[in-house]
Amino acid sequence: MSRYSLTLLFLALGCAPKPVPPPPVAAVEAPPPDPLATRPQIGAPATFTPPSPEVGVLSNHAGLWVINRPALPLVSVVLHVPGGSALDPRGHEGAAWLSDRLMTQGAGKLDATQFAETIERLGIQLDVSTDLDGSWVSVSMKKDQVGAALGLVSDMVLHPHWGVGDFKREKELAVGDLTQSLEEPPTVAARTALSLWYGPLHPWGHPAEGTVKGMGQVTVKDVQKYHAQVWNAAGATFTVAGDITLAEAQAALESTLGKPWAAAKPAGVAASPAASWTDRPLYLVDSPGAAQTMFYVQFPGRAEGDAHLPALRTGTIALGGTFTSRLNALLREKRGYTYGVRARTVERHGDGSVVVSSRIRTDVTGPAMKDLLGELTSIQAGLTAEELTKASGAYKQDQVEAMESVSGVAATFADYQVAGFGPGQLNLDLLSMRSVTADAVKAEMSAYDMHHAVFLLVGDRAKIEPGLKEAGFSKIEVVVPG
Amino acid sequence: MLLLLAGLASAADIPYERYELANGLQVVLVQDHSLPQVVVDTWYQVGSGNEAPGRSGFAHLFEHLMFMGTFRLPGSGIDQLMEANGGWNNAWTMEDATNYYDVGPPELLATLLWIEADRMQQLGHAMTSEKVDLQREVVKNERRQSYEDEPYAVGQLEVPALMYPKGHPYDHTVIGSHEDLTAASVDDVKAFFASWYVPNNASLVVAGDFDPAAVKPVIEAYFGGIAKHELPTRPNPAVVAAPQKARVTVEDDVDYPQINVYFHTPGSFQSGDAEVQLLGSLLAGGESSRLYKQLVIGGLAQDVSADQMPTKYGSLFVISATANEDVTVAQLETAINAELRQVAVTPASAGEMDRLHNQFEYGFLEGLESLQNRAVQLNQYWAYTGSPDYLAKDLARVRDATAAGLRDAAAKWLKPEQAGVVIVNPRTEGGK
Repeated sequence: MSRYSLTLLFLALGCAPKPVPPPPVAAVEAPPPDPLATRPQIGAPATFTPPSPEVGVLSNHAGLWVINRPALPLVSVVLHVPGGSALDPRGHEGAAWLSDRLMTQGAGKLDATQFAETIERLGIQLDVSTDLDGSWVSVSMKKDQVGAALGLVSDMVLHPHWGVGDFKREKELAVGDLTQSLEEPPTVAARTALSLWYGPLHPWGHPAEGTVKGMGQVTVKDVQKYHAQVWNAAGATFTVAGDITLAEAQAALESTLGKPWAAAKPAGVAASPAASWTDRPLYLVDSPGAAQTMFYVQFPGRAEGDAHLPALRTGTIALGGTFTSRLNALLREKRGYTYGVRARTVERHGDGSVVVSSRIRTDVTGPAMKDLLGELTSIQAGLTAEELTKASGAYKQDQVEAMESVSGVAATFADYQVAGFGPGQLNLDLLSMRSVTADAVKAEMSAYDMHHAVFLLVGDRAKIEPGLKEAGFSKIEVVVPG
Repeated sequence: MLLLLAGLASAADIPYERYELANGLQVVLVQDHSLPQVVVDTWYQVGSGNEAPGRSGFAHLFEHLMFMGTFRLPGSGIDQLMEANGGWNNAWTMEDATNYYDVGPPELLATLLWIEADRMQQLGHAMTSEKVDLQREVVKNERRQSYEDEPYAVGQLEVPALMYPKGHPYDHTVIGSHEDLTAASVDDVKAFFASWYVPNNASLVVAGDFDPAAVKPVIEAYFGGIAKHELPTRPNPAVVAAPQKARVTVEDDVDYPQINVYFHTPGSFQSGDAEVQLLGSLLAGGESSRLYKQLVIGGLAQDVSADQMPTKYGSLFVISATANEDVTVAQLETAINAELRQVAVTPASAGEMDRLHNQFEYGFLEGLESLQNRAVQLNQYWAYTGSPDYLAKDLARVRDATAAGLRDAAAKWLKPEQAGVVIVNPRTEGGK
């Protein structure tokens, strides 16, 4: 820039009335090219072919997928059985979660402390979790600890202690955690929305972790019953990734978890979609003094395996799945109302939804909701070609990154195996996302139908209610989280 | 144990090539062709510790502004260009540094380098008050979300003033105060950019699926012409050994009281840092740890954690525990102090040392699976030790840590009488 200006100035002085000799050639030397002046070309997309698991089955009929990844001496195993909090007895919400947690609190020959000491001394990472329709054990370790780790998992599944003292302690801790979580707006919103979406009596109508009141009622018999009900090998799946072959994994699992388990038959929970609600009020959890309002909006979506899911995913990514998505561009980057917005699809067996959530400044709650409604309406007109490409690229990059770690690989393919897909489904999903058309997305965007949505806010009622009414939400119903 | 960690050193090797451009920019190239992706990680050695008085939160605000466009790529062009081609980015600011990372498919690498060079060259010149005003609001929302409406997090806002004297680089939070964020101006942004965002204050790690022979000329062409500048004088604070006062109590919308006990400990990668990190695991790294057994299994607390938070000019070590119903923070404090006195005189058992080494080993390996983590790790080594070639030494300092060393470190650094305590109590009636 500065060299160009100096050159022009020199030439202007050369226009004086008295002719002067031209400057030496060296003085008008061209400026060096700006290497940053031109944006580089972007080549054709690199090919990504995800791994395809090898498939086996244990002698007790448990399913087995193995993805061999020998780069580092690490192995990750994900074990799943169907069941989950859908099986919680009414009024005892949290029984399944506590049952699974108690598997780690004394098993086989080890009491709770000895069990933890053994796991941690070997450097094994153990995680037990419960969701609405299943129970999970994830264990990751160095390759030389696979046998020891699976032996401990075998004790958890086959020989849990159910010690009375351990039960009492873990139940009290669970009640404490649930009580504390009532102060966390995202948790309050997600858990309250489940009840609103499915209805409180639906098997999926309460959080997998339970409720404060329900957990308080859980008994030792409840947790034993759940365990006996769901931990059947015939319904179980193992997904193994890392520095291990199919033969090695099969041998290690046969010697530890290869025999029949306690439960008589696999526990299944029938798929049961949410009821079709219309024109519901705006639900509000009052949080006096909150600096921000959390909004959580849920629309009907698509169940896992639904042929329309790629189109719905594409539209949802364009709406709020990336930094430059429509809602982030408007509410964060243009308005400055929020730190970020997220939209995502939730896919279950036989049911699905779309969730849009964010935390916005209390004093702009009304205008932000108006903006939200505007975007939810305008996206029904469809996406641009650039948005289509962007969504497909974002999905692909997510899957590439999931393949970086053995735990990511195991978790990704475990989801596919549990859902009943074949081992090549990830590749099929990538292809489907690449071939989604603008028309297909536009058809799916009609899912953003305000008449079938649940709008839930967690915020300071006194400060935000007038703005909400101004934004068009005339019916507001206050709800109390459980 | 020694054999295990020796094996780990070879498994966890990160082969790389390092060189420096004439303008002082450090370049590290790490090839990994296992997946079709690349990472560009740019580390600037400037953070909240370099902020001027009355401008707390500025380094982090500036980080947000780095995505607000240049003359060549205006508006939200950086994000648009990356995301339109399968990439994404983010950044983070800490006391000592600011880190920007871009992730994407291999075909995007030249574009990612072009973007980083472009904003290193001219971001400040393209700054406007509109951009500053907008990101100021976004950052304030981040503060509300991460601290003001996050249970117990208001206690963290009290820590700098509790632990550091006024004028120390760490005497304020990275997120800053609303007042200081409001005061930030375009001139501040331009001056900060000119002072710190120069190639001789940065390190660029390129990692992933690329050909170094093709990438080196691109790096030279894009970054080589950016002028180096003399850097401002860096802080040189005196070592702080004790808190400025013994304790501070705040209220929050929570159900149970929480105690947070802070200690001054050695800085990142300095002598004693590894031992104090391992002490964190010994005390609260899992359900077989000492404090978990004492406090959680013992029925006093719902949770407990103990962590070294490493920074350049001296670190902080914090033990946090949330009380059970009908348990007071005084009871928690008594139990924590009793364990600290114990660990300062009794060495860890052989079983405990095995646990610490094995947990470390697994975590180290797992952390290296991520391409981005590897890139950040090399930049961290460069920033804190002067060379990315520190992985073997990093492993060795853990390998060489002994039970006696941990005991001595506890006796030296974790004295209860030198603690600064932050208590977060449930809000009393009308306290908001």
